[in-house]
Amino acid sequence: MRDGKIIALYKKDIYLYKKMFIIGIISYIALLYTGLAMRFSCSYGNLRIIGDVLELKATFEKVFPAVTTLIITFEMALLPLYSIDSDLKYRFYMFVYSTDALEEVQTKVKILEIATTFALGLSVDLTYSMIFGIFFGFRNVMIGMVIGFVVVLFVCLLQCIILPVTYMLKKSDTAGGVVIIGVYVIAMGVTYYIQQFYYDEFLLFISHLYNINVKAFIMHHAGIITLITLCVIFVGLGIAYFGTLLNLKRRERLCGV
Amino acid sequence: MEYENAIEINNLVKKYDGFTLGEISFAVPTGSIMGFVGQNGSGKSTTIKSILNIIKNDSGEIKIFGLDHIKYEKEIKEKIAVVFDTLPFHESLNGKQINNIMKNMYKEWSEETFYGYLERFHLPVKKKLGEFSKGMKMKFQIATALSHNASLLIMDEATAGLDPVVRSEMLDVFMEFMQDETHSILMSSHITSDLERIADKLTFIHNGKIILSGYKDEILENHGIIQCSLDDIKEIDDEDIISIRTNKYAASIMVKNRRQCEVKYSGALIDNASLDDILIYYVKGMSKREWEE
Repeated sequence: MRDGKIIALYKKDIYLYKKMFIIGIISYIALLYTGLAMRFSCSYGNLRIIGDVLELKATFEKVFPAVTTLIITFEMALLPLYSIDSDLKYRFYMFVYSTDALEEVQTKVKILEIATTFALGLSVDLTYSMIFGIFFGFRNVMIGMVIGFVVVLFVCLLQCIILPVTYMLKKSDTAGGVVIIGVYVIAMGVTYYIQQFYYDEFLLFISHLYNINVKAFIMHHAGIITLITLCVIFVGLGIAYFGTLLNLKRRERLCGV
Repeated sequence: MEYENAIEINNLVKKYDGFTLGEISFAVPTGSIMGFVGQNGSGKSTTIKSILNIIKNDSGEIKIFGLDHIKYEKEIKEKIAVVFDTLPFHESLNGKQINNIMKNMYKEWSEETFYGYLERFHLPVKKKLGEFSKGMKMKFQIATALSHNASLLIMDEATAGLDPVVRSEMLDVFMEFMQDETHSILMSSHITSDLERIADKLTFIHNGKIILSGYKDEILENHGIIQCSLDDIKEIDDEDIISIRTNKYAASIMVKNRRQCEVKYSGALIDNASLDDILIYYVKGMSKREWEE
């Protein structure tokens, strides 16, 4: 059942961050132009005289979709976080709690914003890859698209974790810093562990990645990939939903009492 | 559901470090304007936040429209409008955007009423709220509050910091709101002249305790100030005295039963007391019976 209050609060955040969407569109167009220009330069421009131009073409086809997706998704991921900063600054929670838009409604709005980030990130990944693929073929672009998809998942997962931490710390920059440092420390720890105990297997895996037939790999492992994706989504949304709900129930804190 | 009081507070207690609100009890009858008077830090905002369930009470009961304010929170809040001392909206939004937000927020939002108030208050629709003056922001908040068919208007220091012209304009708007007898207002303020003009009932709060509550006309009628010399103070019975203000030459004694005192102390000069006077004498009297000007 459509809840008007969810639409109202979602609209509020969209209005506040209209400029960010415009910057996102401009960034997308600029990155698309840059990617196409550089890749075309490998075939017809100055870059074609560089030593290993085939390697360069492959790198561009893999990297540009993924990097563009990362940049745009990251920018869009800031929406629910910056809106918390803004709501706290203008004491908007005092108004919200004087209405019947209670904690569940507010939490659903944040989940909707995370879904928006996911949808926008995926759109950027798919459209960019499609355009690149039409011009240059899909063999390497598919790898970039898959990396882009993983990037979107990762950014959304980060967003799910940073969201409740933002409510706890009442500042999105601080929350982002804390979570990203935490993720970095964990990633370094895992990498160190793998290098210490599974170094040969790790090298073999990396070398396979460069020669992988993405389509065949995905088709062969579709089940496990789908399962992992769904698990990541459910865990992330669970953290976001319950973490946000618990923090929103602390009304005195949010209203600065 | 039939109910006599728009707001009913019974034995409310809320404790903080260094401050305790309560136990307080009072009611805002349906169809009336209750002025909630007190100094800064007396507990007015804490009481209002308790009513809105923004803060959890330690004990006590609050009913709004005859319903428990926690159990029936959703049903109640659709019919409440709140005006705070500062505009609680993002300054980059404008009137049109607020309208688009509010029409989804409230089932009974009236775009016509909202734009009507904006036009009446001469507020530009497409200008960002951050570019409004303080008076304009308050008018905007009031326009928003009165555009969703609320039955209860709660105002927390809404007229503080406004110039007399804007305040007078706002008070007229509140009187129009009250033309519907099912409407009620709880208005917290330390500007007693506003309350003297429009309130039906008054509740005075000091240091988290209710010191006086009743109908405004009765309160004003029952209180008076006896002007006398310092030697005459002892002629006045203690039970009649709220507190005494003295200077080098004379004393001003506030009494709470003016008509009886006029008979008892015939010949004494008893002046009218304003709400300001009543608040000051009661507050000063809580620490000392006699205090200097």
